[in-house]
Amino acid sequence: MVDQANKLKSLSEAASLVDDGARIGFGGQPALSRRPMSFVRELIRQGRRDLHVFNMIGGLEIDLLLGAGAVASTHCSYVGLGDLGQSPHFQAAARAGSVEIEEFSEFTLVASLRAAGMDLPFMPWKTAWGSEVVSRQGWKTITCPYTGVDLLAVPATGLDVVVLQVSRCDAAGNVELPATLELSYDFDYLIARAAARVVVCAERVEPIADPTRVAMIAREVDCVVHAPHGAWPCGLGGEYSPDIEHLAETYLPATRVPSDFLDYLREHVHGRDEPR
Amino acid sequence: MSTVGVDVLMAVAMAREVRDGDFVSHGSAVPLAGAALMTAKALHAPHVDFFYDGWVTPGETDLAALALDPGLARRSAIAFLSQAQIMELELRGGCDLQFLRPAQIDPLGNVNVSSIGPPEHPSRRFHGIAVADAMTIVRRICLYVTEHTPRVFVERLDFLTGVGHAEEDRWRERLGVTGTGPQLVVTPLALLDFAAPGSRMRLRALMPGASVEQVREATGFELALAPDVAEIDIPSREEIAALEAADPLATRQLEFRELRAGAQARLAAHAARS
Repeated sequence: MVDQANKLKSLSEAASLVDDGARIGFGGQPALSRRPMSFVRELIRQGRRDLHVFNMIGGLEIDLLLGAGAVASTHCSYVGLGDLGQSPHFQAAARAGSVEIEEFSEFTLVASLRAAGMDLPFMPWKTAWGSEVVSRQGWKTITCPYTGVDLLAVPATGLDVVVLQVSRCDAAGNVELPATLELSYDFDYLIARAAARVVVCAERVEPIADPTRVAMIAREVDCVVHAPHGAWPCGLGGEYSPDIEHLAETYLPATRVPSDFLDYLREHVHGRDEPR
Repeated sequence: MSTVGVDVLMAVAMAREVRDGDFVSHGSAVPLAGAALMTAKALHAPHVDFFYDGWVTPGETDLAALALDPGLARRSAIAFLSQAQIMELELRGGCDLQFLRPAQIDPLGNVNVSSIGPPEHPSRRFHGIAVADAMTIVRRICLYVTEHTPRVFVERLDFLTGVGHAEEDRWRERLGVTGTGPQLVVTPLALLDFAAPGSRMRLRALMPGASVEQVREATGFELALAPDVAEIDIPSREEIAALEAADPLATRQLEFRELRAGAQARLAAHAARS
């Protein structure tokens, strides 16, 4: 029986739950906020490969994984770095054709995750009809048995694992809502509910006093990691801002030359002193 | 040539497409569309509602102020909906108008917001589809582009992200969707609609100073003409004043390649002062 009261694991134990070739999802919004960057760095330190990465607003977590050569395919409706512009490794991968890029819209990704979260094989849907978003993925249409209208059947996207970075959860895995709600705050819970396993990295692991502020309950969470400042160099709403200086003056310049990025990984990923 | 800037002409032409009482799905990072929306709200559409990063109809309508102070929308808004809730509202047919700026548009108003060149090895790709597929459900779509050239108006898209008036819209009935597709394209040279036979694109009006020949040469396919092509009404003093009040730093110019650097410098200087 799972110990529901205590799911605390170290960062390295939690990251070892992710296999090579796993389908892994993230949340967070905007592109430089609420990303489980400590966890992503640990995946890279452990040499994880061939990941299939999912997010609605893909950001720095995907750029870093791509730059480390850990990604086989992306499945997002946006990959970029927000105010800092395009994601350099995503752009390079797209031009080179070196990773598979499955195009989702926000609508079709939500449809697909909703289906998975309710254990349905597909979701009948009304956007994206007739586009290459649909034809390239071979999605089919169905006829409604009641009204006769045609609907797009968006197949369910089941994930192996979803990793979130949050402000606070308790050791059992009850996750508190963010202090300030951002546009896509609840996407985190939507994608988590489509996954076989959920890892929550929290700034603080402590009891949540107000039960109405619990967004996901312990039974929906498999593993809790205490990861203070775990979104760095991204920010976390209500906690800290993105480290724009690091991103603009260290990270982005390093993405321009492959050997420089190896140096970046050596210093800021493999060499970073963070609790593992 | 008109002395009114192209950003003003386009913002005002787009503002005229907003109807009073519309619920507008307004994306982030599209300041020209935002300026048009706020201008309409100040003039002929006081009852318009819109989302700004999930905040419903903030009382503050100065776009630069909203962009620079993340708390301002919250302090002046009526309500908050998450993106997932906004999507459901749109799926129920609750949104009346969306402005959308594609990279390519074809004669039927199909759009590409994804990539340029072969999809497997694009010469240029964008950050992703985001919500461009809402073209099927938002009641009216107003497309706009800040470059009117044959590389934007193409016979064949490099990637079909969103469907316009294929099959003369018969598919819309079959799917039971609420959207009527793109109604208008606003460009630096012209207004284009889809009233030619087969729901094909047609030149409806010219921006001041532009000619029919110039528009046809700048369009990469045969463009039909409305029977009475004329210049649009030049922006009135009231329209220009409302636009200046809504967008005093001219953030709308961020969407024009030739005006972007100036707008960025202006915003940076303003941010440094405040």
